[in-house]
Amino acid sequence: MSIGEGVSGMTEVLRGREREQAALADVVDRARSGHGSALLLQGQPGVGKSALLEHTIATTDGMVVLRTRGVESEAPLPFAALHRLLRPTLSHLDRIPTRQADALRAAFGESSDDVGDRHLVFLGTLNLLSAVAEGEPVLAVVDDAHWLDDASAAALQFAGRRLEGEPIAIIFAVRDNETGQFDPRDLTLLSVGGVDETAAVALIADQVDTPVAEGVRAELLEATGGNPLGLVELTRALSQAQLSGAEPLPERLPLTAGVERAFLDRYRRLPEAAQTLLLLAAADDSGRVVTLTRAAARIGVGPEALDAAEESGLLNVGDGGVLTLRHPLVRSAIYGAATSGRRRQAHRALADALAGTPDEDRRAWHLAASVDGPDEAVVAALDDAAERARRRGGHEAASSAWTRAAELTVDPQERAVRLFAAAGASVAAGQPADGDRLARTALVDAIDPLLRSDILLLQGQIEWNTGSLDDGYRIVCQAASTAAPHDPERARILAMLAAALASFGARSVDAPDPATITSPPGADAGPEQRVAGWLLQGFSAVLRDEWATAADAFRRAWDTPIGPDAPPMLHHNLAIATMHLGDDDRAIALHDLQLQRARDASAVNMIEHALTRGAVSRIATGAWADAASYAEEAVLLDRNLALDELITFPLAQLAVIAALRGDPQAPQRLQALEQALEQHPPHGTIAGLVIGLSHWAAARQAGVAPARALHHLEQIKLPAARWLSAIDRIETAVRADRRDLTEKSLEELRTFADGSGMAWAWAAVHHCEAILGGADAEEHFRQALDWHARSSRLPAKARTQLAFGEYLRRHRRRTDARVPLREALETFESLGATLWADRARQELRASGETARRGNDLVATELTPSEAQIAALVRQGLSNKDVAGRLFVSPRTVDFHLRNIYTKLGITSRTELVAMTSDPA
Amino acid sequence: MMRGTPRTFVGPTVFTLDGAFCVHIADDVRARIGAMPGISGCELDIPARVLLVTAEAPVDRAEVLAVLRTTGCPVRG
Repeated sequence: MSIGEGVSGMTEVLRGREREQAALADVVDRARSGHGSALLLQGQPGVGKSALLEHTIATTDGMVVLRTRGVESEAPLPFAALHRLLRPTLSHLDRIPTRQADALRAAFGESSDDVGDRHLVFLGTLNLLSAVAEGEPVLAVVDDAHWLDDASAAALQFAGRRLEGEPIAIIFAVRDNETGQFDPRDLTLLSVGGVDETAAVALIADQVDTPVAEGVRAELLEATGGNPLGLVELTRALSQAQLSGAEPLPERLPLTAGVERAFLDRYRRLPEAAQTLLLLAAADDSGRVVTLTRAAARIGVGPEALDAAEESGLLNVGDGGVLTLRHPLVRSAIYGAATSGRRRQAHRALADALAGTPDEDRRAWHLAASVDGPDEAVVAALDDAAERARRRGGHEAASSAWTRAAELTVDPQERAVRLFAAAGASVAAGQPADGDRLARTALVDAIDPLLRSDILLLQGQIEWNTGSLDDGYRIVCQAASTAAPHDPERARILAMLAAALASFGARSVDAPDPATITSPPGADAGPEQRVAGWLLQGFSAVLRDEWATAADAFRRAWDTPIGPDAPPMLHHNLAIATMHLGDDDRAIALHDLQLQRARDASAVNMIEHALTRGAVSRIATGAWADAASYAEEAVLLDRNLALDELITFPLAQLAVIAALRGDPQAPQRLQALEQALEQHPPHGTIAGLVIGLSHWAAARQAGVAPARALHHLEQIKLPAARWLSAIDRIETAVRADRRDLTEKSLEELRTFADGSGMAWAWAAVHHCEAILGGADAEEHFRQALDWHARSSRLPAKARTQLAFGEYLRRHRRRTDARVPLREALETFESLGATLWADRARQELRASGETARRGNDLVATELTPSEAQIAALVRQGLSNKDVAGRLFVSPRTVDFHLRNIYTKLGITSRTELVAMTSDPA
Repeated sequence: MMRGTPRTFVGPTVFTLDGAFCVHIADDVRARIGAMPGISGCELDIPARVLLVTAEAPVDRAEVLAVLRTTGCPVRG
């Protein structure tokens, strides 16, 4: 048994543990039959968690057993515990998606690559376990999970929540009231309490040869609550006279303190040298005798002290020179009792012992614990450790190392730089609250305005993503104003960002108008600055409904080429700006480019962003199958990677698509969206779009009265969302007989069309004028169709054709009516827009044409996930590659693929690839 | 790291507060932390649950925690 891979514990026979043993056996058995799950074994120190784990392992046959444990002093070593768990399985790495395999190697320090997106490590963990489990079911045991390093804890919790359908059991053991970074919510809990009286009495009897007085036994039972370690240690600590009742018992302490005192009493009876050695063992967790003896030698303690320490039973040297303490409480007792001076000395000795070994991270942290004030060499070692942790995707560890480095730095500016790096790492670790606290701390010392501006930008990002968009906006304005006198170019980009936030709904009375923060770029400015300036102008104009200015500025920005290495903020906002004008073709091109880059980098958040933006534009152009596929992939990503706060956006898109199609599932889609909105009210920059799409979907449900539909449509505030639903708003106002709202909306749209010159907008204006039924209705229909010919919004065009056909038929021009009606029907059928297609067919019949049956309307039976997987397989991707692309496990792909075969009546991948038409 | 690992610091450092507490504990925290040798600043932001302590000379974090605990201020780590 080793401190690293073993489960420390008690060799005593398990007594009185039938219930717990049965529960553990059940989890293992269910995993064996393919129903994997994770279990949390929780109890006080010494209650016998490790012994139960040992017993479970010993009684399990025919499974791959993997084991690891959290070690308190390993918190700053990213993925250390996970590496121990997975080490025996790394030969299977070639069976998981390449990106994930690379990420795992980088996380474990087996390559010097950057991990990139940390989700890849999490998915790699799950998929590696899954790959191993294809051979034999897997039992993974994680003892002392409360001490897991943060990165390992995050990866194992991710895997533990996704074991459904996998022949994998993960058992975590944690202490009561001490979960550390380990978040036990929604794991099945098995609480371990004290043993019953019969078992306790037997345990006491096992420890001593002499009879134990009845009163003493009762006292021991009460003091320990049946805690086996407590029973063993407190009994052993008593003299014969105390056991027989002849002498009084020592003062009673709380259980853990009592056990620690028993260990400490034993420790204090040892010779000085052995005590020093045990303190070193308590302060070092590597479990390597060679490190320990080398450190001991630094402070004049010879190797013979090891024998004395071992004889005390507090420490054990196992095979291969690996060292374990009797129980983690030995560690806390000895370490806790040492003065801070002695602790520093121990850490210094350990750091020296590790000099020149590959354990640089451990060494850095021992150094940090050994100094009593600022020290440049220690700071440099911590900086290096932080940088290594960052590369390995251990962002929590990187944040800790930079924070600690800052604490030992004299120069305030350098301190601020390190705290800023720490804040950024916390955000990367998904701990925005910690990131915000560190950013605040960094601002205390940051004097350099550009550094302050960078810190403020980070704070602003945290705020608009997790708190309030308005506050985030105010902070970004502050960042821009801070940079303005010193670096106007930087300030211009920040002001542009602030204006973009405002254009998506951010407001603050305390913030300056972003347009006033910097002057426009000069005539000799480079392309990036010109783009920043135009975007700033465009976003500001959107805010004032000055559409001509906005459209002109955005077009100039789009027409100015900038390199792929230009600030991401520019690329990002060039793409976002398209949504304000409803420039769908450009939106799709720019977001697809972004998607491609994000996929190449496996940058999960960016993939999600590009998918959801790409879907919005496709809703407008009628590429609904693609839009649904994008949105469905985003939902999958959000669910699978726990990006819950983003999920309402793609759900709203799916609800809109279903409603526009007249899909029988539309009400369920809307309901799913409403539930998600309740759990995760949208905030940040997506809020305006999510709310807009939600009202649009609600308004377009079948059978909704016009007044109610209109009420929904009038609650859409964000212009970009109002444009998407413009025709519906005006048509509904007409049906609801609200002349006032009809005219107001039409006027708004006309102003936009006039300023922006967008073809779809003019088409919509003429469509609406036409259905108002004036004398010039026909002329408006024709103009609308002329404009439609220049726009890619197919659904809108078909709606104009339908309305025009209806108009012509009502005017007894049945032959003329058939032309637009046929075209409308064809488009609606290709879109899968059932309700509109039915209307077009009815109109065609009324105009005297025997409409053919809508054979194209047989909706695909594949679910969006299945359709997506089918499409990727048809592109020639292997299951492994499909899994990597969609961030799911190969097993999930396989599961969907089998359903696809059944639904399509085929039996093989070859048949799927050979199918002539897209099954979706 | 182990609980109680020596952690001296200079400059500003953050303590995260757990839960709410009353006004005179806050006053007590400011007074007692502010009076510690080496400490030059003590800012309490109760809504943000943040205590920002600034040291002009090396101070051990454990000493600050010990003083905080005597005030009854609920603090993490």
